[in-house]
Amino acid sequence: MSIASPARKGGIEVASRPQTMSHPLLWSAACLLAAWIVLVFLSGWAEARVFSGSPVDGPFQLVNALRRLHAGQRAGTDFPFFHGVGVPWLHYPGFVLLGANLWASELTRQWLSPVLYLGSMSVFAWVATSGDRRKTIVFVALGALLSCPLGLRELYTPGNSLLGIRSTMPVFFFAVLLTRWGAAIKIALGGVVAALAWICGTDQGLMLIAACAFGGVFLLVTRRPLRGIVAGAFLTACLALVPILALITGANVKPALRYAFIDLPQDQFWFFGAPPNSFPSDIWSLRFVGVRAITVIAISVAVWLALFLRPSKRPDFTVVFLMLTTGLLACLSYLGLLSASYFAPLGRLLLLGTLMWAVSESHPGWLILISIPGVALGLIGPASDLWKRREKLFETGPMVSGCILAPEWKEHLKKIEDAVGPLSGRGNELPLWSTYRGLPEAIAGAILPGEDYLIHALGPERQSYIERFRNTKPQFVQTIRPEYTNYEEWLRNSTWPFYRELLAHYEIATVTPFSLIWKRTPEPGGDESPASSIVPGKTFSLPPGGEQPDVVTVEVEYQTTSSLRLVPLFKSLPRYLIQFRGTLNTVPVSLPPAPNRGRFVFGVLRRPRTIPVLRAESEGLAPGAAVEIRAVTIQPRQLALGQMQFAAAGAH
Amino acid sequence: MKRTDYDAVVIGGGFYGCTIALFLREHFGSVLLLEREKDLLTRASLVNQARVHNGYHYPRSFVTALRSFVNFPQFVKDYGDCLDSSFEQYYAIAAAQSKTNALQFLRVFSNLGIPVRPARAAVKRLFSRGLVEDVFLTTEYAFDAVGLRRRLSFEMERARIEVRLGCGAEKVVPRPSGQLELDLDNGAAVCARRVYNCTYSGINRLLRSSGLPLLPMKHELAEIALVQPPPEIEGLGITVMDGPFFSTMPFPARSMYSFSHVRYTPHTSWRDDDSQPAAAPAPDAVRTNFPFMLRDAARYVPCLKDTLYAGSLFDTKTVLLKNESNDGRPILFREHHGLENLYVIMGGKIDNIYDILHILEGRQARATGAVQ
Ligand SMILES: Cc1cc2nc3c(=O)[nH]c(=O)nc-3n(C[C@H](O)[C@H](O)[C@H](O)COP(=O)(O)OP(=O)(O)OC[C@H]3O[C@@H](n4cnc5c(N)ncnc54)[C@H](O)[C@@H]3O)c2cc1C
Repeated sequence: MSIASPARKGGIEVASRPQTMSHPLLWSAACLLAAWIVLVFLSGWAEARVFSGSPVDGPFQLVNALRRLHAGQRAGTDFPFFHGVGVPWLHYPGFVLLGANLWASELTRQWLSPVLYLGSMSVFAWVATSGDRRKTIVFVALGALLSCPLGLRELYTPGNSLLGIRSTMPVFFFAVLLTRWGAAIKIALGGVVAALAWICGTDQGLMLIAACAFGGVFLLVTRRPLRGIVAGAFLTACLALVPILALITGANVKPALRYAFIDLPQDQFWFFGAPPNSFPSDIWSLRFVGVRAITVIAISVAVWLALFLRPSKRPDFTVVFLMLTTGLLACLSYLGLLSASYFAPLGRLLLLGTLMWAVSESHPGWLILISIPGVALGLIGPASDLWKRREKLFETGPMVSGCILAPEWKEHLKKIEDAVGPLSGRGNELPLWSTYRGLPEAIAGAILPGEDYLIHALGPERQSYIERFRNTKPQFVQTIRPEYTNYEEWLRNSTWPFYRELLAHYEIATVTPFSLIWKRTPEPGGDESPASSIVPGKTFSLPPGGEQPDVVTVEVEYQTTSSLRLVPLFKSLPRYLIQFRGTLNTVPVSLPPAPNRGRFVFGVLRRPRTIPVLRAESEGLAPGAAVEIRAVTIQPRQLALGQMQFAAAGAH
Repeated sequence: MKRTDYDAVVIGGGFYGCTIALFLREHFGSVLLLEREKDLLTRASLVNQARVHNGYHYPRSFVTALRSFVNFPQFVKDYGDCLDSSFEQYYAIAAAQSKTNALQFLRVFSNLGIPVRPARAAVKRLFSRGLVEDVFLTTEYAFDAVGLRRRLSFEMERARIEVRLGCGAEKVVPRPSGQLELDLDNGAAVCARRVYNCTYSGINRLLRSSGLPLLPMKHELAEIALVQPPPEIEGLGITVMDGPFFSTMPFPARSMYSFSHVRYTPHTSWRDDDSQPAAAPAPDAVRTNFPFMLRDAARYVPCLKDTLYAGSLFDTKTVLLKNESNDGRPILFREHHGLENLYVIMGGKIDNIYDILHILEGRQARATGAVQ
């Protein structure tokens, strides 16, 4: 970088060389940005208009939370929100303004991500260009247009997990650092923003705070610019966290803290980072993160190292250094599972850093050069999104909760209503227990106790969930069809006692495109034979299946070892798996680490006339990990004819 | 004088009625079987493709595939002498318009443990390259309806089940004694403690004339063409799937090959509903669709163009409307349907008889348990 930017006291001036931006460039940038915005927002509108979302992810995770807020419940106290208790609050105003129904939630979900993506980028650009309006426009236009080619679609759309929103606050934090405000303001505001970053995105916020902690110490030691501000912001964040959380949760911070700091990290690896998710099983498996991710990470590491090793007096360098530290720390998520989008928050920060540099160094030729790929590719992604949804723009039909339902959703609802009776107005009388609550509950207006998603019952809550189910004895139960997604098999593996209870008392009443609707039977379905022991071992086989498929509840007593068991984070790297052969279920069981003997119960779907073979093994990056099976007990249960669809595992 | 009082009466002498009568005879002293036609197994149990399903037909319906796979060995064991297992059955996955692809087909059946092997190169060459994605050798047989008729007649005679041929049931009415009375088309009547309506496409007709609630069913007038295959196809069965395609395979009851096409086998379809009486079009008035079947099939397997047509069998195919078979099993089992001890039973495929027997056994075991 060639510019010498005279840092003012407590402030940063990034662009020191006055530049004039040519009109054609400015106008092209503005037009392209406008086109990008129209495409993205129109596409989001279409998606919200005709509802075809997943029954197990994104949409209802949010709808359920917003309905709870609307009913006067508090996130973090009355119900957990997986991605951070602030996330539903960010959506809440839009939800209320638009009518507090599915449509309101969906449109807010579709639009808030791009609003915050562009909003945070604009604020950053405004500060980074010292308030130069023209440069800000070019910065944001390039940022938006380059987002899709760089693989950042998950950030400007809600995606599955609102990753864009979760990684927004760190951008505001870095914008605060770049302002010309006084140090005290930066410390106070930066600290609060960092605390909010945690509240609005548990993992991403945590990495920002960790980066500030590390950065604070490192900058102090190496006497680099902004050291006091970063260290101060870190301390402020730590101090501000609990009061802000108290404000949100109604002074009951313990459950939210427990969920985020104990239950979630405990289950992060063995539960979430287990098959069918791909996880880092060995060093080569890392290639599955994809070329774009590897490229972004490699460039970031190189720049980070350069900044780390070469002391500089430039505060903007320090900011970029911190940005990359945050982004790279966020990539530690890859140790959990190899999701294609996990590099996106780093990609976003790298993009912002690069644009800050490019625009501040700007001359039209250089900008035009880097805008070429953006111009060429930048609109293709949003345009193709809109093209895929073109029919939704003009679709007409009856509305349910403000949306037109896609055909499979209509069929889903009809079948549920045929079995359970009309939903509307049933409220908490709705006799349906869903492992993934969603549209039926929303239509009924039910606000039921306990977690809305079985997967969100983490740690000890898992047992409580099953207890509650046992005691409630609902008339109907909804579970996801194993053919719809293999995550259902994963859920069965990790919460078998729930399914065991289900099989003991329910038969399938109807099958919808997404789910199985079970009805409680007066007599328990097929009998469970008495438990018997079988010879344990690394590989062990179960008695062969009979003429009909059935389920065998297997309880293993086991012990795990790991060479890194004393190293935080890394101690969870190995996965202890039980693989199947000759069974109808195909997704391996992941055992929680148990250095001193653990017990785990899972189900095996026996294929007719076949001997199931089970193999325990450890996989993962940590060397010296092993799992030893000490004892095995089995308890077969026949499947009633009306339960056969349960055996459709492996048929997705 | 003929007896008029029975422990159980089964209406319908198709494969289901006969098998159920044999099952009932194990538990009851007197069982009567009524069949409107002059002989047993002359309707749907004869006029079909004769495929003993082993699951391959249902890559998208797990339970149906699974049930077929589970029932297949049992059927082979019980009726081995009425089967043709001497041919190789091939399933080809169409490249376009198929609802399944080859990989999915392979995955679903391998996981279920149902044998699927790649076809021999010589067989693959019979198929048009661009139109077929892949071809698999499977394990599936054809049943001989005439052989089954012989077997079942013999067994019923041995079990001393009374069979009345050419005798249709017109109406079921409850008697004050708790028994059910059946009015027959010859003017006579019989009484029974329990009555089993196993009349397949005639189920709703009997229910309607008895003033009982109808069941949601759809009917199709189906045509099974009987052919002499070209020499290249002798010894093979071919099914192209998964969509509007065709199959041709041995039809042991006539020592020929059957030929059917998803698009052209059904001629017309209708539903029973309360307002208008269901009427099956007369098969004699229907022109064969075989030329259409053949033209389309020859696109996929060119040598089929030399197939020789020998005639067609027509009958009504009855399917349960979707919500009646929610758990994926194509069976209907209604207990006390409108009347105490009136059972309505139907199976969508021959092998589903075991699913029905399974339920009947369960009911019987429970009833015996309750008595004890
Ligand atoms: C075109 C077609 C292709 C098929 N392909 C196959 C296949 O490849 N594989 C397979 O497994 N299944 C196949 N099926 C299904 C199979 O044929 C039926 O599931 C099976 O035959 C039903 O047997 P059933 O005894 O219930 O019916 P049926 O054989 O029709 O028996 C019913 C009997 O009831 C009699 N009846 C009706 N009303 C009365 C009355 N009022 N009084 C007295 N008697 C009465 C009829 O005369 C008839 O004999 C096919 C069906 C069709 C139509």
